[in-house]
This record gives sequence, C-alpha cells and structure tokens, in this order.
Amino acid sequence: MATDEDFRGFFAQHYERLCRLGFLLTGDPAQAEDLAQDALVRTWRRWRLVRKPDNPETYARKVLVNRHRSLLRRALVEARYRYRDHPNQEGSSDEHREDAIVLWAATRRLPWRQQAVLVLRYYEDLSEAEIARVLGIPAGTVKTLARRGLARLRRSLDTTPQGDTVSSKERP
Amino acid sequence: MTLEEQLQDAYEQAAERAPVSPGAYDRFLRRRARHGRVVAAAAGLALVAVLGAAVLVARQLPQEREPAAPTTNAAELADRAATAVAAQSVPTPRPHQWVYTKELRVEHGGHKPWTWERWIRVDGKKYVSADDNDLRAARVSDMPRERRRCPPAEAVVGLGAAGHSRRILQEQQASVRPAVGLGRFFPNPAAVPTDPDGLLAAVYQLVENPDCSPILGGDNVQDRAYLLINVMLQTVQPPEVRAALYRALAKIPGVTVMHSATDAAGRRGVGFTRAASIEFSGSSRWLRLEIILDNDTYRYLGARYIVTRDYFMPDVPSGKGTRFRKGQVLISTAQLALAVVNAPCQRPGETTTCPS
Repeated sequence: MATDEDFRGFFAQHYERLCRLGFLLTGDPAQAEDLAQDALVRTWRRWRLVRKPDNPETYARKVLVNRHRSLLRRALVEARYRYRDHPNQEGSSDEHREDAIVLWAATRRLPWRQQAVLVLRYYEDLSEAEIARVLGIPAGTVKTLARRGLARLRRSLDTTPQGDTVSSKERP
Repeated sequence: MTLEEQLQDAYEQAAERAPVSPGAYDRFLRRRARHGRVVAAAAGLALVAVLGAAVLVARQLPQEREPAAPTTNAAELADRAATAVAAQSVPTPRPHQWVYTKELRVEHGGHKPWTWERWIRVDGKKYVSADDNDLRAARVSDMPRERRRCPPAEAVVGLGAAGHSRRILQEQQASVRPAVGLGRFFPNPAAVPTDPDGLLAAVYQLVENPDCSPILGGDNVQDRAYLLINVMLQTVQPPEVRAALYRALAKIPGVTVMHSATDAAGRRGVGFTRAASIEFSGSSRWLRLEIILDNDTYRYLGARYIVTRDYFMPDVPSGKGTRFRKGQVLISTAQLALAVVNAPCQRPGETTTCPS
C-alpha cells in the first residue's frame, strides 16, 4: 500500500510551482511556502485515503487558493504589500522589472476572486474551465472576473503614484 | 505590450523571486505528522463532553473483538505459512532487471476500482508507474530522494544500538535501496537477523523514529512494524526471509487471525489482522488492517483496511467531512502480479515497452 514513491514524485514535480503560486498570491515567501506545504499535506491525505485525486494538481491548487482566501479573511496578511513598498528590493534599477513588480503588487490589491482568476490564467496558464474547477465557480463567472480584474488593474495603475514608473511603457 | 502580456511578464518575474528552500520534503513529512494530530485534536475538542462519557463507558465494557473469535492463533498460521514458503524457490534477480507489481485497488470515495502497475529496477534507482493498464504516460523516473535527519546507516540494525541511534541523527540524503529483499528497507541488510525475534527487533529499530521509518505514518512502533511488514511482503524476498517475516508478523502484539478473508479481487484466503493506522495519526483507533494470504501456498494476496468504529473525518477545503461506518471497507487491495522482468513497462509474458 505504499503510494509513497508516487507521491514523492508528485511532490518533487509540483512543490516549487505551488510555492510560486503562493508567492504570487501573498507576496510573502514564508506564507507562500506555508500555503504550498499545507496544500500538499491535504492533497496527500486525500491521496492516501481515496487514491490519487482525479487530478492531484488541480486539487492542490484548489486547496492552496482556498487557504489563501481564509488567510485573507482572517486578515493575517500584513506582509501582503511587502513588495509594493519596496519595488527595488533587489536593487534592480531596471525600469521594466520595476513595472512588473508594481503591476504584480496591484494584482494583490484586487478582490480575492479577481486576483485568483488572474494568477491562474496568466501565470498558471489555465483554461477558463480549469479555473472554474479550481475555484468552484461557473466558467462564465471566470470570464467576468477576469474582465473586471483587468479593468480594475488598468484603472488602479492609472491612478497610483507608482503609475509614473510605468508611464513610459506603452499601454493598451 | 497589452496589459495581459504585461501581467504574464510581471508574474513570471515575480515568481522568480519566490524562494524555494531546500529540505522541503522533510518539512512536509513533519508537518504531515503534525497535521493528523491537529485534526484529531480539533475533532476531540468539539466532542469533548461526549467523549468524556464515552471513554468511561468504554473502559467498563469488554474490548471489541473480531467477529467469530479466532480458534487458531497467529503463531500457528505464521508457522504453516513459513513452512510453506520456505520450501518454494525464488530466483535471484539481477541488478538491472525490474520488479513488476500489479495491484488492484478498491477504495472508499466512489472511485472505480483501479489497477496500479509499477516497475522498480532491482537496484532501486529507477521506477515506472502506470494506472489502469495505461502505459501511454509511463515514463522511467529516478527514484526521488530527500535529505532527512536520520541515524547513520551503520547505527540502524547494528542492534543493541537502539536508543543510541536517536542521539546521533545526522542530515543525510536517503540512499538508494535495491527493490528486492530486506535491502529495500534496511540500510545494512547483511546485519539483519533472519530468525523471527531478531528480525522483529530489527524492524522495530528501523521504524523507531517515525521520520526515518521507510513507511509513513503509524501511531506507534508496533503499528509501524505491522504496516512495514505488510509492505515488505509485497516485494520479492528469498524464501527464508519471507518465512521469518510471517513469523515476525505474528509476534507483534495484537495480531490475530482471520479464518476467512477476501481480497479486492474476490480471492478468499486466510489473514492476519490488527488495529492499524492509515496516513494520519490516531487512525489505528478506528481502523484495522487485514493481511491476506493464499490458503494453500500462503503467498501474499492483498490487504484490507476496515473501519472498526464509526468515525467522522473533517474534510478540506469543503469544510464538510466524511463519515465512516463501522465495518466499512476503506481500502481493499489485491496483488495481481509480482514478477521479475527484464525491462521497464514489460509485463510478464508480454513484450510491452515504455513509450519513447
């Protein structure tokens, strides 16, 4: 009954990616790893008890984004804006890089569902149907949330002071 | 650049900053062990008043026993099985052959029964895994390894070193172990005695530290030893080792005999049974594991996890949960094949190969 090798393979394959997803959602490395670890513990429990979930990767993502939401709800996210205030944290003077960090920080100020939809769509490259499965919402809602998220992002970038740093870039 | 493209770009760049620290699997194992306890504690909290009463009652009642109290004890069954298997001949696998196993699994949760095929290279360095006879996605992979804090290999089953081993944990990479015989489990198989008492002592020592135990979970040393021997019986062993494993199994406290037990494939056999845990801590309080052997040849047929009392397990992320009923079969398995073959993805008597 050892599904260990299988799960270790899964862990090795997906751990890093889940950490990155957690990081994009929280902006905090420690929380990111916490979310990834938690998601994998829960995936494992399910794996062990009722075999591999049909799509373990989706399951792990689902747990991760849901846990992220509970974190937000409990307002345990002081570190959420960590990188917003320090866009140059790694000493990069590359303007392009800075723009990217500002944009990323702006996504983290979106309502949770919009933020999650954007990260799953533009980072994880998931289809609307897959995002719908991860978030447990209808596919039509995914489309709406993505549209609203992008619109809001556009507005917020136009009005934030940091917007100046991205103004040299061409915008749609 | 459109906003969508900018966003993709931003995510890519930001993700680069996500620090992934080493030792993740090790932390994962510790967290997982902890997690089981937290769930148990949370459930316990909600039921504390009820439980308090229930525990009092339980103490006054006779311990729950298997239906149809066994007339044969575990040692007798182990003797018969050991005698039978010791007379069978097992070819010695060569390092670049592959151990092929095919298991049928019927599991709680409404999944269809499924089969799980694995090829593990005899030297333990590579493996392939496939579900439901589907080789399309079968790939030869390196056996994953993680750094763990464990006693150095020579301290495990130097026997007599128990207790000592705990103090000299060292960070080390789990070594690759062969897929056959005791070498799959013991870092120093030559030092493992093949008399039942010595073997059991060695197994206890091996699983003493849950973080270093070759199997995951387990509520205590006896539980882990029982679970581990169940796994040991599923690979290729020299006959005298298998005989000793049966005898050692029967010596674990709490092991009794089932006269009739049925594996996932519907094959009737005879079985050992004992309270046993599944992944999370404390589950041996509501589960038992049957290890089922063929009635005549005493080869390993399969195993079943059976719920021994009603239990509610909270689920995540739905917030709902699963109710397990006493007598329910949680997982049932049948080993449909155990063989040594010459290539990965090759089934015995067939010439199948892995997709390139």
